[in-house]
Amino acid sequence: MSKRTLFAALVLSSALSTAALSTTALAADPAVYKIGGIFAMTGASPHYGKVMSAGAQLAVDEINAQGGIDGIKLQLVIEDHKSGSAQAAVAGMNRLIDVEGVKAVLPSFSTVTLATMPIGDQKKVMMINGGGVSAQTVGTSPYMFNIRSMASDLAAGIAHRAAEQGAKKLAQIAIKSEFGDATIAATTKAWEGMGLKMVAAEQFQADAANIDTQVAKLRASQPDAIANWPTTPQAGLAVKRMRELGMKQPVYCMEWTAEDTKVAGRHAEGVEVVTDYFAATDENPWSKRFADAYRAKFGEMPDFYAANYYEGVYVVAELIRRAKAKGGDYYSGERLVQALWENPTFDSVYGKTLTFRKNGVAQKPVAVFRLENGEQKFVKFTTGE
Amino acid sequence: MEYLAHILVMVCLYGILATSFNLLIGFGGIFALAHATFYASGAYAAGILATKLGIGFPLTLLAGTVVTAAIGLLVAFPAMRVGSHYLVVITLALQAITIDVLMNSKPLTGGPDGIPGIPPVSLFGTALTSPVSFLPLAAVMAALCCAVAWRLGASPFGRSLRAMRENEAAAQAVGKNLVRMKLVVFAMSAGLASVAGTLVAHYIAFVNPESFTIEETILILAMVILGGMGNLWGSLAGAAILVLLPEGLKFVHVPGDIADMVRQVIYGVVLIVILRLRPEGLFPETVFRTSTGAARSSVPANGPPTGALERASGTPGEVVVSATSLSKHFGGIQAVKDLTIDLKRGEIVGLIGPNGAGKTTAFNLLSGFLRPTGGTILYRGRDVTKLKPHEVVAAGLARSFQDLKLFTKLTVVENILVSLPAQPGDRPLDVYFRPGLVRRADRENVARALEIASFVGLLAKADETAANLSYAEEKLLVIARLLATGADVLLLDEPLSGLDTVTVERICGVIRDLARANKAVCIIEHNLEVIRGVCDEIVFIDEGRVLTKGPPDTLMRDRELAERYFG
Repeated sequence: MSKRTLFAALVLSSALSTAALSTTALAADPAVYKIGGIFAMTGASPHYGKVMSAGAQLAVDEINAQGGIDGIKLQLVIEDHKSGSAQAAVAGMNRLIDVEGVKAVLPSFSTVTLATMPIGDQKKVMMINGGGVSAQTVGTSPYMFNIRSMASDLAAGIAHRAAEQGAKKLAQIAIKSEFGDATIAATTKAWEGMGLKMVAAEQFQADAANIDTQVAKLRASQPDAIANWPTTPQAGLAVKRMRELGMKQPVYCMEWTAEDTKVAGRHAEGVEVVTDYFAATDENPWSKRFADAYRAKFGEMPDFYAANYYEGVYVVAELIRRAKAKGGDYYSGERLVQALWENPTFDSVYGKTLTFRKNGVAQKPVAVFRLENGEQKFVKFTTGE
Repeated sequence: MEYLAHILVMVCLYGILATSFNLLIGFGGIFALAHATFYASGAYAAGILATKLGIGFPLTLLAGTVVTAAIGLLVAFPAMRVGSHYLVVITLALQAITIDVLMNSKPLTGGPDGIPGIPPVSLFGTALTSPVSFLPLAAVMAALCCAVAWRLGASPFGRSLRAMRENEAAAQAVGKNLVRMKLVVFAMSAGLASVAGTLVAHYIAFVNPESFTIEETILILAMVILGGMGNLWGSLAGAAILVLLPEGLKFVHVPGDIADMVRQVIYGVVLIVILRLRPEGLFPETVFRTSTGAARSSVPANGPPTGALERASGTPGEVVVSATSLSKHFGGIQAVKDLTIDLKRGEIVGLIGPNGAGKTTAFNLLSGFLRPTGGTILYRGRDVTKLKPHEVVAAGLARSFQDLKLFTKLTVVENILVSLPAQPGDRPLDVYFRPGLVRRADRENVARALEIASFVGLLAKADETAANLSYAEEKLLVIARLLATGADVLLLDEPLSGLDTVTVERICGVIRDLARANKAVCIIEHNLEVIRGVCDEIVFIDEGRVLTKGPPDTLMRDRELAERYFG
């Protein structure tokens, strides 16, 4: 083979290789990165869908405003699970994967996550839950991740806080739901694990407007402190009725929104919230930036659900960026998960970083807030383990 | 493809639910709003058996169906005692109790968390984990369930169900055992719904209480109403529309976080428009109407009675019914007191008296609709005092009602057909396992019903719904229905009221024919000319007791009687 022929062959093979590589790269790049959200847009609890979708959409808009990921924009595709319908969620999940071609989905509600998880597992689609707290979503699929602290984490945080303030006897009240059951079980385990006494655990139906029977039983158990687990607006209602029935014990909540403050009125004063609750602080510029942008766009302050799903989109975007940097057919659930385990730590809008533990649950700072004059004031960080 | 397959799977499952619910409310007229309970029962049975005992499909299907059918039977008991809004309240309570049980029986049902990780159906070594692989099974099961529902709905039993839906008292009065019918239809409906439950549990691999709330029952009800009550094709169409429409609307781009709410509004508006244009649903129930085409050729139009009016056995003048010292009181009100009456073969007895005298109460006692407080009723020497209405009809005594109580949505021939006794097609086991026998018997019964229609002069109207008849024709149909029961004692409550003289004469002729056929006839009538013209004996009742009895001419000359009644 002459030198000229050899040179020509090298040029040709090099050109073919380059063409092949660029074809592969082009084939792997979608026109847009679609991220699925399965939220409660209608049904009994559309408030959750509203704030979760708002948080996620804000993150998408911010990332797109900065040029997307290497010039490719993100798009949030929302499916409605009608506030907990497993069948609606499964239909939505199938549509997201099959029609929209998403590689990452942000589900909400424990039952919805449980119903859609097998599909994510089978189709190798990454799922990041930012709402449900059921322990059953943990450790059952390599594609399942939780960006919200689980009930066990928060329960431990509250147990520590109550014990630290001198309580020996704890009583709990919760909605009869998977959230309520999981929280009661986790708190009982954490509290009794410290050698302290659980004196009552009362539950009521999610749509109950009168919870006096349950509150009266709590009072009769004479606790030193009360763990108040209902979600909005019954968290506020429970506090209101406890105070009106003369209960003056410290009350700890895992979730508290502006709606609860409205329902509880003056009785909200002094209630403590121990959660991965989002609050914008000067020490954390990203949180300030997020809160300001959220308020500017939606006219209200973000709650922790909005923050979780905002953060969820940033995590997915970061994973796409990392996977893309590695090259090849990067846009798949498998590659996103692989990218996560290569470095499970991400910047957190809550402050500092969040780190996914081996069970897929992100460990975030669990904070204590106290309600003062209707505002939630940061008190301290506590242990969530 | 997976998404489309998933939607089709859901169409199949809701198709099963809607057709099974239609059997209950569209055919049986039983407004039991607890269908999601049956659905849940199948789903949880599968979930519990599969996750806790390791039992797989199809054993889960079998167990779920049996358990749910048993629950259906239990629900049927209150349904037999109450109707309309009371039944709605009871079944709504059952629905609420179901959710409470599922929420609180945590060790068994998983409580609010539900049961995750239900193993998929595995057929021939292949696990049906994807919508595409599950779709053929869902389609086959839907076809089977619809075939089962269709077979029942299209059978004489289905016709009887529709008659029961139209009027329970009239159905009893033509010999239908409503208790048995309700038990059967409840069990069938529940069992079929549980099939959908079993399938959904294995398909989604997860069950939770929120999937089986009252909203689910209402959704299935909407499918039935949209498709058309009493039409199983309609139920399938309703299921398809209500599954496909919301999914189709997802492709309608609506900006903002209210997109899904806007889509729900569009969804609601579409349903309102459809039901405004088709108030009885997309498919009316005509598909199940009985065809008379083949049988018509064998029946002469308005010809002689031929086989329609079989002569009753026995000696003319023989006492067939003997009621002795009948009494009935409602609290402190004595409606009937010491009533004694004999009905004889070949004779027409007129029961007369002022309004409120106790005439209709006497009919209710004789026909089993009321249990006498005292006294006995013998039919050909057999004590029938405590028999239920359908048992009294089976014994040989049938009655009509003053307010007719026709099965208005059934055709003339169906009104008559329903009343024919001892039909193999009224037995569900025969419907499924002896279809040839049922088909043959029904063919013969249609021919006989047409003969009876011809006898009363309604052959030309045989395929008309009863709602479209004139008042005179309705009265004739009442008699035809009575005749079809085969009873040899006929109680006619005001068969001639409100008719013109020509029609009165026509019906009087029919009544005389009945007596000539050796039947014992008793009529309540206020038209004295008719009484004088057709009756062999008059029994005068006032304040619940027999004041006098005798031949019409004699009684009508009685001055005291004339003063009290004839004025």
